[in-house]
Amino acid sequence: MNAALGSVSTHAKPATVERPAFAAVAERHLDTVYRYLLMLTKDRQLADDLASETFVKALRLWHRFDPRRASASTWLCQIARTIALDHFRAEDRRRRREDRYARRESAWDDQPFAEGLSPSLEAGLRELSAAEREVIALRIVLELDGDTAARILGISRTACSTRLSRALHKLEEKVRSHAVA
Amino acid sequence: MPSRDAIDERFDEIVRELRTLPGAPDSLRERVRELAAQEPPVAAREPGRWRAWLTFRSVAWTLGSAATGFVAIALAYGVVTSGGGGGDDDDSGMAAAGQTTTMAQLSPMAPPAARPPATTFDTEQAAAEDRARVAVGSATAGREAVTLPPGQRLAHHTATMRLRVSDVDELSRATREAMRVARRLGGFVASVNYAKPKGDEGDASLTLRVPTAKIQQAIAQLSDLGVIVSQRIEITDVQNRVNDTSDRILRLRRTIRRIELRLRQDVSEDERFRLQLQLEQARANLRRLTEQRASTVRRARLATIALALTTREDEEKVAPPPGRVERAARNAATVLAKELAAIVWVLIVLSPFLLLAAAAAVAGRARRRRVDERLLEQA
Repeated sequence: MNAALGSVSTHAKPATVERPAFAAVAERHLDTVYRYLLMLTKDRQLADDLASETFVKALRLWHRFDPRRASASTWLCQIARTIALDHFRAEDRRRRREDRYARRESAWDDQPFAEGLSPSLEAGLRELSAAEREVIALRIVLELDGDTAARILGISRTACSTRLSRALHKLEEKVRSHAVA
Repeated sequence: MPSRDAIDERFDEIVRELRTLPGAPDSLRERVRELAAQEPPVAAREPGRWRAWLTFRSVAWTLGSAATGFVAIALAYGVVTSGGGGGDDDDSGMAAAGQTTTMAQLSPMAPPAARPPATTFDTEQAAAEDRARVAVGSATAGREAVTLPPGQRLAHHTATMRLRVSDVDELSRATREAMRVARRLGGFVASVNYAKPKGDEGDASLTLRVPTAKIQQAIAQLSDLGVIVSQRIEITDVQNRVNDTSDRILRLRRTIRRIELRLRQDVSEDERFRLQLQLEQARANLRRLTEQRASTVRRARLATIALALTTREDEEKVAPPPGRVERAARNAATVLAKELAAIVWVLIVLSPFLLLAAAAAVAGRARRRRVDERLLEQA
């Protein structure tokens, strides 16, 4: 993860850094991380679990956080993304081993994952891939700028814009089709 | 001017609705608060700086220590080898004193007829090593020729002489006479290089092979051809090597006899096959060692004289032999050069592997990213 933030230059003379307290940072950005994971996983319980893991890991790595290189929310979102990807990998392995993908999918479909959203929007979100939901989460829900979102995703700013545009178009189509239905 | 990050207005309704997404539930908030309360107080410090410091310092220390070690080894080698009892010391002592080195106190070299063939088992264990070199001095210009110590062991004799002649006519005459000397003494001319004189300057170089027993005579006769500018004689003892080879030949013959006797007996097919292989191997080794010994003896029977003739005047001065410090520095430099060559060689050999490792790491990262993208597409 630190590689995504770039390595500390060995030529610049680093100054002493005042790092905020972890508790304050966690309190301030908990909703951000939760919403991000919720959009990514479309599962409230899973987002809850992964958010906990995110902050556990963040506390362990807190000594490495350099506020000069990235904001706390960016840093936390990157950790959250890593944790989510680890979860998806584990799930992928488990599904291939146990071949229970269909049952798991239907379980997801039953429960609404976001309160307050219209049924058509929620249905539309469910039909997007995690990658599409992710870019929407970062740019729209969390209101991160293009550069920061691209950095978290590990892609270029242009690719991020393109991905967002496609995701929104697709979501709009899905919402419209569900609304008509 | 619209920001690059602005979302298309057609999605305003979706955006507005998405931003009403609920925040973290209270249970999660409580858990995170409890977790955050565990944070130990940490003094403000440069994040990651200790890593950078450690890495930089470690690298600097490692490189510095390695370089110091290499230089220390080279210097130690240079000091140890510069003052040893070798021919060089003999050279420097004698040349500085301007003395000739007639070994009058030593008995003359035994004629070849009186000396048993060196191929047999001369068990005299002299202190000399198998390749002990005895450089018996370089004479300064105009001095008498150096004579050789008597040899009772099989040895390769190599003489290097440089003579100055008065003019190009004399150069031509001396070249012809040198060839006659070699032939007269039962030897031959291995090579001649006579450069066409330019004006009053000319050079010639010859490689002569003469019977070892006649080398003293050859040197004496060649010395008369001009003024000696420099001269060096090396004797490389090969007696031990020949003795060792002879011992090995004896052992191989015994082994061959033993295997042949065994083959005449009643043995199983597998055993016979194995013995045949051993016998072939032993015979091949015997042939090789026999040829090797014969070659060594042949070389020892003929001495090599490298003779250089010149008309040039500026060869008068012979450079003084290097002192101990200079020798130490030269030897140390030689070792350092070899160490550097070894390092370069290792880097050259390792660089493809390092490149492959780097390429594999990059490919691994790219693959991991593709896998993650696929997971997100499917999730």
